[in-house]
Amino acid sequence: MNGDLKMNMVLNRNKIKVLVAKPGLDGHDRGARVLCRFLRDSGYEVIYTGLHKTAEEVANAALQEDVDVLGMSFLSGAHESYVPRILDILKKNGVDLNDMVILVGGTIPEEQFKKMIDLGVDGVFIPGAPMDEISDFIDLKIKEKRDKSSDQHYFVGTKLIKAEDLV
Amino acid sequence: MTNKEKNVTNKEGWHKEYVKPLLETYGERKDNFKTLSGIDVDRLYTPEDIANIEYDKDISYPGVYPFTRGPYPTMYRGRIWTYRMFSGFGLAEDTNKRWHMLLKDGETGLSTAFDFPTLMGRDSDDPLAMGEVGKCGVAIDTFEDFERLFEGIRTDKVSSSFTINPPAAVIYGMYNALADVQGVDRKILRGTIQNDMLKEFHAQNTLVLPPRPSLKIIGDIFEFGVDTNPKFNLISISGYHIREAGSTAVQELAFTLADGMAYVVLAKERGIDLNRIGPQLSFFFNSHNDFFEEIAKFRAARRIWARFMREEMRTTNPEAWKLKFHTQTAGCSLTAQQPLNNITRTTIQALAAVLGGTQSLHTNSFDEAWALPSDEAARVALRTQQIIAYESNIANTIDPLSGSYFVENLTSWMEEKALEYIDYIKEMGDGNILEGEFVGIDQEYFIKEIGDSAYEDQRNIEEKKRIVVGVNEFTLEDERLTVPLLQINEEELRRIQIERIEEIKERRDTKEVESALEEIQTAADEDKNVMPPIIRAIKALATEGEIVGVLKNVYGIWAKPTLL
Amino acid sequence: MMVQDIIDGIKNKDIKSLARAISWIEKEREEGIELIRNIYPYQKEETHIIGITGFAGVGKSTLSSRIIEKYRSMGKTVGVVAIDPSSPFTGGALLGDRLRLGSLSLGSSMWTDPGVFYRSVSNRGRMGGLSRMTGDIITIMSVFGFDKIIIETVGAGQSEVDVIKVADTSVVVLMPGMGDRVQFAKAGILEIADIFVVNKSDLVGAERVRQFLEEMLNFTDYRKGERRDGTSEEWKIPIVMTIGEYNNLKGIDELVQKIDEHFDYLVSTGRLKEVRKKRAKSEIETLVSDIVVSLCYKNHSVDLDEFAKKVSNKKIDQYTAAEKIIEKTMTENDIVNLNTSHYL
Repeated sequence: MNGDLKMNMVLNRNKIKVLVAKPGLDGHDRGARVLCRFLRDSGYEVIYTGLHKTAEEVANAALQEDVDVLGMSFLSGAHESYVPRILDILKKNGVDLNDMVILVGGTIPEEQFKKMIDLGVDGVFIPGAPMDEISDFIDLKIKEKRDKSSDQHYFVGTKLIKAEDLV
Repeated sequence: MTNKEKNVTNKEGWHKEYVKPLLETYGERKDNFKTLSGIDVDRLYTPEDIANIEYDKDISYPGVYPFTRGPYPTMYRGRIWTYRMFSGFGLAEDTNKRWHMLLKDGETGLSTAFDFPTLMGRDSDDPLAMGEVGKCGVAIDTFEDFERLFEGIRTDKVSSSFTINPPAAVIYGMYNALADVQGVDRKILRGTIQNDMLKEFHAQNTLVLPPRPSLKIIGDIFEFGVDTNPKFNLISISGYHIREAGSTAVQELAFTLADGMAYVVLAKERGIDLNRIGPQLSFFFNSHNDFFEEIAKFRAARRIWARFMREEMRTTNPEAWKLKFHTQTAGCSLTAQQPLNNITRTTIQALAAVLGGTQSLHTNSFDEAWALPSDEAARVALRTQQIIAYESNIANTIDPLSGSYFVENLTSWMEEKALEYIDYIKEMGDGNILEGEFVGIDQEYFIKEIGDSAYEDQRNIEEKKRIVVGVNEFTLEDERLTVPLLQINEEELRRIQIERIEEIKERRDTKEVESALEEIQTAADEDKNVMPPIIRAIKALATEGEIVGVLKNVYGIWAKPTLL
Repeated sequence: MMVQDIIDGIKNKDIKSLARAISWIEKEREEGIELIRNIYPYQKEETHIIGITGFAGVGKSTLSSRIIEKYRSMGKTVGVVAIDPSSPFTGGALLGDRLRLGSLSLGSSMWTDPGVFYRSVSNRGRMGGLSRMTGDIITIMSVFGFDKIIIETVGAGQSEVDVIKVADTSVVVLMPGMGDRVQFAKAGILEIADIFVVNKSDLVGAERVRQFLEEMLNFTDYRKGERRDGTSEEWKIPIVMTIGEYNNLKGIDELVQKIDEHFDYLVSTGRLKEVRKKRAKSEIETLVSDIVVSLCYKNHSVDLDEFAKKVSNKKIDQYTAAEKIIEKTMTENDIVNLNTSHYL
């Protein structure tokens, strides 16, 4: 990413609100908490849901807090059930997914990347994803959504791709 | 000038004569070399570095106090460690099938992975179970599920391990109930229940009851188990999860042993004979990538424990001095990228565990950064252990790294650093380490220590101070991942489990269930042992959620979330 | 979304509209000011605004979570604004209060209760701006129609104290072992209390904190002249001992009762009108000074550096410099058709 552009984004980060969520009964929160800390140190406003939240609780928090970014962490495989339910509740409550960046992180098999994107997820990050990549993607995606860019990018696994490259 | 041999009699002289001139010209790869946990590693270790270690007092012989070289006189020459592969998914019958496969492949001990609802003491029909039934482990709601899990497996033939914590009393009760059904004497049951709530509060977060009641139930299990199942490990004091949550090796060592010490104090406060329960306490460590650091950690653990049990707790039974442990290779070290590399990582970690003298071992499957292991991946993981056992010949002699200047020095260093942490925890409790644990939990001491290390580790990876092959170095441009994955249809599993619960609730003797549950409540209210009424409720087909529900009613729930 | 849509949404109790309206205020968007201009007449007189403050670690979030639960059991709707500090270096913040809100895994969920709206905001290094933001959010929540609005903030300094001043009822939370009297006094949070809470009252030293508070209430003039509503001889400041942990709850019912009694007192004595007028006055004062400051410095013809140079070189004195800046600003700007939103 262009250096000037990035700097410009960094300056605006404290206007960006991120909800980091741990839906489900899985208690593995190392990644979620490290990410919260990193995002805070990078200038974002971060809300962490804590553990053991239901789909309804996560969606309601995202709605009430009117977050710019909703990031969900799964190390239990429960994303298959939770992600569609959470996004569904958001949409039913009038949230336009073109207005919120949706990220999923954790043990997400590659064969499910496309399914996640089709559901409305913008970025899928796997365990050990560099945190810089996550924040760069947040910045890029917020800009693309705000500008209603015709050239939307997605993040899947380790790669930034364009919509047409999605398989 | 001609090249002439320079006379060197010590490390300093060697450095001056040989190293310094070279450093001035070429330098080294890095300014400083550290272990994975951040311990400085010297260029060379010599007899000077072990000068204050006494062989008889600090190292000694295998099977001899302080057991630095191992708990048994013959170690793997007598018997290879137990291959204990953690597995469980889907319905009880799915896991049962996998178990039969693993046993046929040469596995020598069972180890059960439960799904999240079971781990949290919730039934499959609980609203919070949605999306999680049978997903990350096997779903057990009632004793009938448990019987299906052990179909065709004799409790007098195989030792079984159960990774279960808040509802440990329920699963442990089921195992005893199963022995009764199979006509097996409870006294000869072998196996392990994890039953370690302290590390849940520190790292793993499977939390249901508040700290003190959680420990009360553990005390009940100790009291019951010492008499009923004298060959059964009543707890598996676990550093594994502490490490997975991001701790360093020293923190893993220190917090695990501090937890162990707290459980011994708990047993003592409950009036249990420490000479009897000592041998029924087992440990569970992580084995990560830093080969020598891990080996030193295992060796230091045995030494610290032996000294604590003998010198501080004044036990007289040598069996109570021996720290015996299970090891799992580090799940957090597995990479999603280039997953086959994980086989190599797991091999190195398994070697460290074996050279560290583990009693049983789980090797991770290479696909676990993506999902639960497929049959093929689980088999490769088991074969890794068999190759180490039979092809490498490292099991031929005991503790072959002892006497290494580096390994002995590092072992002592880790012991010293761990004891500093342990002393601090004890201080928090005004000299009582069990109280120190409660204070530390309340003040989020453990969580913060571990969280700081986790954050630092991640920063090190991002800044490439720590290289992870395939992740921040040696990456592939256009990597496609073609790992065959185990498919789980959670909705279908949940439907079946809910049907089973409904059917059982129709069929069972409701009066007996209610009366058994009441008996648990009374026992809890009156501070009596809850194990006997729990076994009664299990046999009456009460669900796990119902039994844990009674305990929640009496003791309340743990509701203290941690921010960072 | 258009301002009118949001206004209609708020009046129709649409959560999404409420959430977005607050975002406009938080992000200092022009739409936020336009919104306030349009909705202010619809604020509900009967909305009770409760401020909860105290040092970090006293258990405020847990306590307010229990208060929310209590109000819900009484059938009252609750809107919450939880303010956390942001880092002065990066501007980033970790908004941790929501974490304490009771969820389904603990029994019943306040996260999904339609009678609860919870919003976490950062102070974003705002100084005066923080109380302005909070005031605007309260205005919006009041129009939405919550029975109770809770503002929760760390009592770390003057700006937090100012925030709590927008409340009708201020609850100051203390706990045992949280520093000495000097610290309490310094932070200035004692003067604003309508109710004192000693939380974590099962800990050693709780009684001592209570005695200290009692002494202070007896020996000082807090109850006579200097309180903002000027009525303290009529309202006897209570001290409530609480424990907010689920397994050991204590004093929550009493606390909620005292909070409500205080509001009844404000209403029945007519003091509520005075409190709200004071709040309005302070809002206007802040706005005027914010606008004037902004007018002066956003004016490109005023070169502050140039003036600074002159003053430091002893060419002119600082009073003259200030007068010149204001004079120049006033003469060069269209003060008649001032559009505030350009200056905030």
